[in-house]
Formats: sequence, C-alpha cells, structure tokens
Amino acid sequence: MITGQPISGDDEIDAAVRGGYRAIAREKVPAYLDRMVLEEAGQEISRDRRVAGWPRWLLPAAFAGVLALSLSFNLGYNNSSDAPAIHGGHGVESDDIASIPMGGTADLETAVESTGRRLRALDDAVSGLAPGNNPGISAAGDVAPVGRFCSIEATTSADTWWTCIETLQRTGQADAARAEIELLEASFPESLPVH
Amino acid sequence: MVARYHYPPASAGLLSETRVLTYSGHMKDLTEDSALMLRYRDGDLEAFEVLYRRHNQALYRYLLRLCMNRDVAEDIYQEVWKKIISSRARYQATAKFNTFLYRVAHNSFIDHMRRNKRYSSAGDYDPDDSIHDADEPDIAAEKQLLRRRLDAALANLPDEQRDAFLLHEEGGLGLDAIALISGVSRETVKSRLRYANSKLKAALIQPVASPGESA
Repeated sequence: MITGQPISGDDEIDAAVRGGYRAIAREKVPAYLDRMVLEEAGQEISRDRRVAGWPRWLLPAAFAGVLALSLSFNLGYNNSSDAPAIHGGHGVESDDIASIPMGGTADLETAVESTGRRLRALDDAVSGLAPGNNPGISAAGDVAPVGRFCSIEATTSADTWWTCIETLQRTGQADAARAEIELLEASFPESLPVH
Repeated sequence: MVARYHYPPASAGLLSETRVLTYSGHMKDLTEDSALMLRYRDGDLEAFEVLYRRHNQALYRYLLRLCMNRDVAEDIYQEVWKKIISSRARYQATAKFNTFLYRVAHNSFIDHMRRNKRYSSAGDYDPDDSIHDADEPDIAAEKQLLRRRLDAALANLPDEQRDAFLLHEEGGLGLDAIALISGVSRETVKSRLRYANSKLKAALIQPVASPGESA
C-alpha cells in the first residue's frame, strides 16, 4: 500500500501519505449545517433586494418632506396665534357665530342684523390679513375685504353700499353686484333702496 | 490538486518561442469560483449554492481536523460561511476564491484559539465514527488500524504543521497561497509540509500486525 514517492516541486506530500489521508478523510458536513448556511445566503439576498427596491431619492425626499411639514405646521401655528394682535383685538370668535339665535320668526331679523355685523367684523379681520389684495370699488379709496367688491367703508351704511353696487352694475360686473346685494339684504334688510 | 501550467511543445512553431500560458482544469475551476461569487454578489443565489457545494466538504474536514473537536469545528464552519456571505458586497476577484475561503477559515480558527486561550483538542472528535467500509473484515481491520495511526499522527502534529498539511490537502493550495494565509515565508511552509509528511509517513509504515495495537 505504501509506495513512497520523492517530493518534488510544489508537491511536498508523499503520494502514500496523501492516499492514506484520503482514506480517512471521509467526514461529511451535517445536513443541518448545509441548510443553515444556504438559508443564511438566501436571507442575505432577500435583505439586499428589499433595500435595493427603494429608490435612491426616497430617504432624502422623506427627510425633506418631514422638514417641510414641520416648518409649515410651525408657521401656521404662529400665524394663527398672531392674528388677534394684527387686528388689534378685533378677531372674530367662533363663539360669536354659535351664539346667533335660531329661534322663531321674531328672532330672524335680529339674527340677520347680528350676522351682518359679524360679517363686517370678519371682513375687518380678513382685510388685515391680505391688504391690497382686492379688486373692489371704493368711493373713499378704501380697501375691500378679500373676495368682496365693495370696500369696508362703503358697506358701513346701506346707502353707501348701494352706491357701490350701482357702480358695479354700471361697470358690467353683474355677478359682483348680485353678491353684494345679497350681503346688503342680509345686513340691512330694513333699509333696502326701492328701485 | 494544485494548478499546473502547461506549455506548448517546442515543435509548435512560432508559438513555441513565446511561451503561452494555459491553465489546467483545476485552475479553470478556481476562476469559475470567483465568477460564481461575483454572481452571488449580484444576487444569484444558485451561484452561491454551486460554490458552496464545491467547497463545503473540504472546508468541513479542514476545520474538523484542525480543531480536533467537532462542536468547535462546526461553530467555526458556520462563522466562516457567514463571513463569506456578508462579505459578498465587497468581494473582488483579485485572488482565487479558495485562497480567500481558507484564509477566512484559518483566521477564524486563530481567533477562536485566542478567545479561548487554548482550545481543547481532546474534545468529542472521534475520527472512526463516520467511516463505514464494505471491505472484507481483515482488510477493513487493517484499514481501520492505518486510519487510527494516521489520525493519531495528524493529531500529534504541531498546529502549524497540521494547518499547512490540511491547507495543502483539503484546500488544494500551493506553497505561496499557504504562505500568504499563514503569514510566513514560502520556505517555512515547505519545511512545515516536509516535517508533517515525514511524521505521517512514519506512522503509516509501522508494522501492521503489532500485538499491542490490535488489542
């Protein structure tokens, strides 16, 4: 069995020793180890695929989104808390609207009048937020509230308000005139001009 | 097992003047190993399985006989493959895959020895428990005896010599690769292998029918 061969070159091991070793070296890897290693290899691939599935821009975009939301929330909070100060304490409380009497017909006129006053107060508040942002018509050169066509000064009395409405009608702004008439009717139902 | 270079014969004409280096089949396999690892790096699990099946048995035997303790060998075996798997993203085919594999295994074994100061080589390793021969009883007994002698001789080798022998036989590594893995010179590896060879050979050529051994 043992023949023995000279050692030469890179091969330092005698053929007989190698043959003897090969005869004893027959151990096999236990199946559980094979399973564990291959499962580990598969999990590594799955992990990488999950991460690779995310676009590269996702993380910075998510960060920027969170930052933008935080900023806008913060700014919005500050603006809402500053609002009463801008208008010198003329802000409209939600309780004012809720306190409008909703009783029978007798209370209706009072309610309408009250609503008119509150609308004007609301106009005051809104106009303070967006000065110059109105296409309104003003006899006194005043500024109209946002979304309105007649100035605050023009709507303090039924006559001046009606004058503004007539100006709107003359200048072809029929829709604006109709909207102002509706508001006028609600605010001064008792003093509508007769036409 | 070792990769050998083949040159064209001198009669091959002009080509013979410029020696053309070609590779044996084994070298091709090693190149393919790196390609498989690169494929696994790119997400091909089947490539890893092929690669694993090529090296699992030899690596297991290397660790089993290096540690001489089955539990420790199996722990290190798992650790080695985990390292190979987790290093796949950084893997570059700059060296042969099996040099890389056995370097990781060798270093894991050294780390284990350092962690445990001195591992117990007298563990639960029984080299005979996995050998099942279908030979005639007399022949089987003779083989069994030779195996015991060789195993005992292998176990009695100094760690460095046993490591060099196993890297050569199980890893199929040449002197340069073993030197690289062990961090010693090529001549030192050569010397270790020669010592290991002579001790193992001495164990094999003892008379078979010594009365004390058969008892």
